[in-house]
Amino acid sequence: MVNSRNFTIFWLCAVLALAIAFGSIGSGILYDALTAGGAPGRLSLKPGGGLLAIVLSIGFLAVVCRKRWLATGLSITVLVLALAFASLATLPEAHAIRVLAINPLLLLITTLIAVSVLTAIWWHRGWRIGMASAAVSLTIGLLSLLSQWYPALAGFSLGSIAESTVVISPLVILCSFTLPFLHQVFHRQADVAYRGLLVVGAIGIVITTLSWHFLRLQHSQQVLERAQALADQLEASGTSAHAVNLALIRRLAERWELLEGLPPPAFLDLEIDSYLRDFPELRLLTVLDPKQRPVMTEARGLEYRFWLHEFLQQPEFPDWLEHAIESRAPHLSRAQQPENGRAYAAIAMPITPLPGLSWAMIAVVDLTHVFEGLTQHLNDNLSVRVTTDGLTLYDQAGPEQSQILLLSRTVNVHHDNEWTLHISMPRGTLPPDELYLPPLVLFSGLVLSFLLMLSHLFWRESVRRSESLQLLNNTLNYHLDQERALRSTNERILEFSKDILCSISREGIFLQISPACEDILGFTPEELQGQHYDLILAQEDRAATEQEVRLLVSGDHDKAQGFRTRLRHRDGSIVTISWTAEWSKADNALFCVGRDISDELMAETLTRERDQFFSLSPDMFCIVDLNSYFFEVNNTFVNTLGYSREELLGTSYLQLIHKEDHDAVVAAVSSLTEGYDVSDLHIRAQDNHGNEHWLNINAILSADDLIYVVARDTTEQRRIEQKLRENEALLKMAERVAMIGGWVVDLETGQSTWSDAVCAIHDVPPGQVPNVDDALLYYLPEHRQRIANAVQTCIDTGIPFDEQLQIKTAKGRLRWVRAIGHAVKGSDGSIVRLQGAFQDVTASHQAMEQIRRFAERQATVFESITDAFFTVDRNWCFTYVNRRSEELLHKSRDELLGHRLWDMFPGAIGSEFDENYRHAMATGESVSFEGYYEPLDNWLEISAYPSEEGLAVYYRSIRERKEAQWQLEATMQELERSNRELQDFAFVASHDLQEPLRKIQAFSDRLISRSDTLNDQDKDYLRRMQSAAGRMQNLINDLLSYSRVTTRAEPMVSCDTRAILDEVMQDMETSISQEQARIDIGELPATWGDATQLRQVLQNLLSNAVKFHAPGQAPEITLTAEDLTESHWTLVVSDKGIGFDERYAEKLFHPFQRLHQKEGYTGTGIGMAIVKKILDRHEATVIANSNPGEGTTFRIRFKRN
Amino acid sequence: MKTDTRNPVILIADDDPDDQLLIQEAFAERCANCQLCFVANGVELMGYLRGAAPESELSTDCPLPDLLLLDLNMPLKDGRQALLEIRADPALRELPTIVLTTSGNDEDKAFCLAQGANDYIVKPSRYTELLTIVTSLKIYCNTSAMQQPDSDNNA
Repeated sequence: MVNSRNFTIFWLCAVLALAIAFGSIGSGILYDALTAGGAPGRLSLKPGGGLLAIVLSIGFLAVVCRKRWLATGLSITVLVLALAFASLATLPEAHAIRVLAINPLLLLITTLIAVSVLTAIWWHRGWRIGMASAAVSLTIGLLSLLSQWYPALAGFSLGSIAESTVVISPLVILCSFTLPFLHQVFHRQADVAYRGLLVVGAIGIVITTLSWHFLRLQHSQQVLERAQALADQLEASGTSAHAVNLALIRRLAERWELLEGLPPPAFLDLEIDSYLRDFPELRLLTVLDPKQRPVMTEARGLEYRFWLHEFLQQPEFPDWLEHAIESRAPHLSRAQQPENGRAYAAIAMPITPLPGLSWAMIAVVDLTHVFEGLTQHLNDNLSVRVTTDGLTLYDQAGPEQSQILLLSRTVNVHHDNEWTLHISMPRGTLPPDELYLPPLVLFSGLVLSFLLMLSHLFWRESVRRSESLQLLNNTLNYHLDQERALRSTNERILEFSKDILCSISREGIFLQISPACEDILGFTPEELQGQHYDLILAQEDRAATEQEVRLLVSGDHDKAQGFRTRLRHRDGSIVTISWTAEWSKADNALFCVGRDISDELMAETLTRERDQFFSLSPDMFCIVDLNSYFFEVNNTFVNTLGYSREELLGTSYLQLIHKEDHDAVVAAVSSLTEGYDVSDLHIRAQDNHGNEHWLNINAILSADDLIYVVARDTTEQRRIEQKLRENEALLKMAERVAMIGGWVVDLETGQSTWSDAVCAIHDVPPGQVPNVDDALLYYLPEHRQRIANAVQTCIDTGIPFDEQLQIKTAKGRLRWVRAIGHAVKGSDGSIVRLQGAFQDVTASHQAMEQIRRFAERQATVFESITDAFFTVDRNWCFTYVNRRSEELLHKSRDELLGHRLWDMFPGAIGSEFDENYRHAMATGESVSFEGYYEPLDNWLEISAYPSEEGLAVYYRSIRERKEAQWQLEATMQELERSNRELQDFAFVASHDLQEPLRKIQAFSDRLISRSDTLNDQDKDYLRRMQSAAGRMQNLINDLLSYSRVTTRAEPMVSCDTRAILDEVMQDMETSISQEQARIDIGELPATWGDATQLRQVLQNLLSNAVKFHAPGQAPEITLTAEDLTESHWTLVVSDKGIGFDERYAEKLFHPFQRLHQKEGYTGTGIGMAIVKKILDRHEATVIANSNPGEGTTFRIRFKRN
Repeated sequence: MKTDTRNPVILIADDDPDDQLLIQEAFAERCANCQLCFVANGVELMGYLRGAAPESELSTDCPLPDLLLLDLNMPLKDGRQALLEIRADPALRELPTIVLTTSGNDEDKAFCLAQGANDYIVKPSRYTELLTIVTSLKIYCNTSAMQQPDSDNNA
């Protein structure tokens, strides 16, 4: 129930249904109580509950109908009634009004409901009380319902009988659900208690209740009938059972009487035993003598003998026996109940075995056993109890309180013996099946009625809502139509308006713009929407526009009107727009209407200019109509001709014009009307003084059938021309300066005229004019024919000429001249003279020549350079390709020129070429790179230089270089590998070579030690072998350490030379002290190197210096530093030893080269070779200076870092 | 299992018959009561130490040695590998092992000592030196036997 209204309606309906159900059921109960109240065996509901239900029903109805006072009154009534019913419990049991008493739990619930109703009506927080009441009611209701199945809960049972419990409990549960919502129901807005709903609910519920009631009565009747049938059956079978017992005893007695005397004890025993065995209800048989003492007793158990004894002691016994003897018939005693709870009765039968003696036979019958036998096959919910004289003979049912007595019947068993049969139904246990049906019918009916009401209610509600929705829909449609119409009007306005209609956001973004913008600005609305207006706004108007928009948006300006901005049309032209704009707060947009006033503006300007021009122009303007009248004249016109404006306007212009020119004017007007403009019409006009003015007329016909005429007074011009001619001398001067002059050849006279400049160019005095043939002689012979031909052609045909030729001046100077000439025709159309210009173009010719030579030289350079070279323009078309390029690209110049680079070499697209070229072109930065162009299978080194014209590309093939590089790398790898192998070989070889040597030595040792068989010479030979093997071992070891110089190399670091030296001296301490060597050490700087190897170097040098000294002379050794620079230093090691011949200095550093005899000086001669090798590795140089007998000096140049 | 502290068992792993002969002679001269067993390579050595019957003819039974003389360069499995396996085997970890090899290489020496060799001796070229070495081994054997009285249990 998400919808709170639906929620309320649901509970309203529930309360209403409950109210009707209460009323209906209450009425049924009351009716039942009034019509059949107290009828024995009738299952009836208590009328008190019915009364309360009716009052509650009206109370609920009052709540639903919002009758505040009625509901209040009824609630109080319920409270009072509940109190009254509660007090009934104190009345005595038998009081008639106690029939109204009802279950105290039910009273509690009723009170809670009444209180809930009261609080719901009067207190806005009543729902809390309702909630609490609901919880209590619900719990009790559930417990009560469950008590039907769980006897332990019997205390919670709300009804006095099962039937009422199964009705009341669900009602209470249903009622408890509604309690929390009573407040809501009372304060609801919905109209629910309308007649239709009440009728539907009432009909449904009343029918349900009636069905329930009748079903209930019917079933109640059925149960009663069953009880009746049971009683009949029991009566019949009980009576017959007694009759049988009595007859049995009588028959026994009669048999014994026939024997005339008691049978012998053995027979009697047998007889009685057989009886006891065959008839289980018989417990004991005895024979009493006339003194009423048992003479012969047989019993089923000892307790029966005791019982018999007690029975005989009873005071009424003698009377009863007497009575039996007297009646001479079997007689049943009153029932007796010993302590074991069973009921016994005795049967007495007088016997007279011997006449006169009144003996008696007593049989004890177990009555309980008899009834057990009778009822054991009854399998019904009904139970049976048999009583007599306040004794319970048989009780199948249990305690009386838990039973509902259906029927009691008194049965006469024996003449003075009456038993009562009670048929009852157990209370609190499960009722018979048929009793479930009525409540089920009742509640399903109630639920169905409730659903019926609910659906009726919702149906009505939906009808109402759909009506209101329909109304709403109609209104909405109306508004939508209105809006659509408005919108379409708007759109039409937008569509057809010549003005730009637009809305602009606060930020200046076009939100919407009318299609007129396409006409005015060239942009479609789609292009502009979403764009900022800066896109089209001219730069110079931005600040002002921004200011205006800000003012409008802030509200400082209500409205902008006639605000002008210049916008840029898509084609770049400027359009002036006059805006009317208003800020709409509601739409958060600036609505603008812009009118294109460019044309107006132009017209305005034009008009203004025209007016100004018209009035101020030095030219004469007039406007005349087609009827030859003046329409307007300007000041100049007035001033020039002297007539006043008033005189002229309204008069015909023909009066002013010279008569000879009238025809020309008329012809001009007619040509104007035919659509031709008139220009350069020369006519004469008279001023007011009668002076003649030459006027040059231009005229056009305007659309308004006015002729606009511009007239220029050329009178003055003619005069000025005259004056100009006079100033020709000045012009000639100017000609000379520019080295350009004019010439004329009069063909009739053959006379030439040269301007001064022409003369100057020819180095002849001014004024000297040669004839044509002489003039031609100035030209160099190779040019002479050309100019002669040109002049002749011009004379013959009038074709003008323009030649650049070389002349030799009068002074013998060579000059380049430009001769231009054209023919002048006389009035008869024949050529009368030639005239033209003549210019000294030597300087420019020389410049041109230089440029040409330069270009040639450049081309030669480009052609001759070994680099390939080409240029492309900005469209990537080849503009120049040199020869080398043709070779490298395998394409000829003709193929390439004018074609696009990318078309000719598509393989380069997307490659590094593409990337680099485009980068260079785009950024203007030159690029250099190497690249492989696959289609040509070539490595290229490329430099590209961008310029205004495009790209100049120099490149060369570096395939050879690349190949050489690869070759070198391969060789290096090979070298490295072979080096490595060589080292491995040296190591392995030296190692494995030692092995056999060792064996030779060891076994020769063994041989020598067994010297018995060898003579001295043999031993000598063996020792020589051993010695040789030892030397070889040394050699191998030396070789190994030599090879280790490279294999065991450590990285170079800065080493403390002095520290290394100290270590070495420490190692050599023995030999130093042995030889008494003196060693002086100066300051030594640090050295860049491998400390281990440096140590080897020093060790070798020092040990050599110590070793090689003249016998008897102690070694003197000095170590000093020389030539210290930033990067290098020299270690000088000198001794005063035996020295050597410098010629062998080179050999010193080769492996196994010894400069001294083996005898006297040990060593294999590898030491210095190792030194050399190590120093080579350190990039250090070593020089040895020595003289035999004078000592040796080693100079080693080390790196310092 | 050690037979007797006075009769030390020395196992020599060396593939070179010359060296075997020289060592045998040297022991015969200086330490005659030592029982010598020879194996020719690492595989045989490990087989011997782990109880398999030795294939070498020079020894008839295979008592666990008091000392192992180990050559490094041997076929099949070299001395370095054998040393690693011996030191990795809990039963053999305590076995006194002295490397006796031709290799005077510093790297080999450093490696063997790091891997737990008790000593590293370069094979001498002179027989007299070999005699000296054998004498010192004999001393070593006796002292190590005294220092490790529990080596029976460890074996």
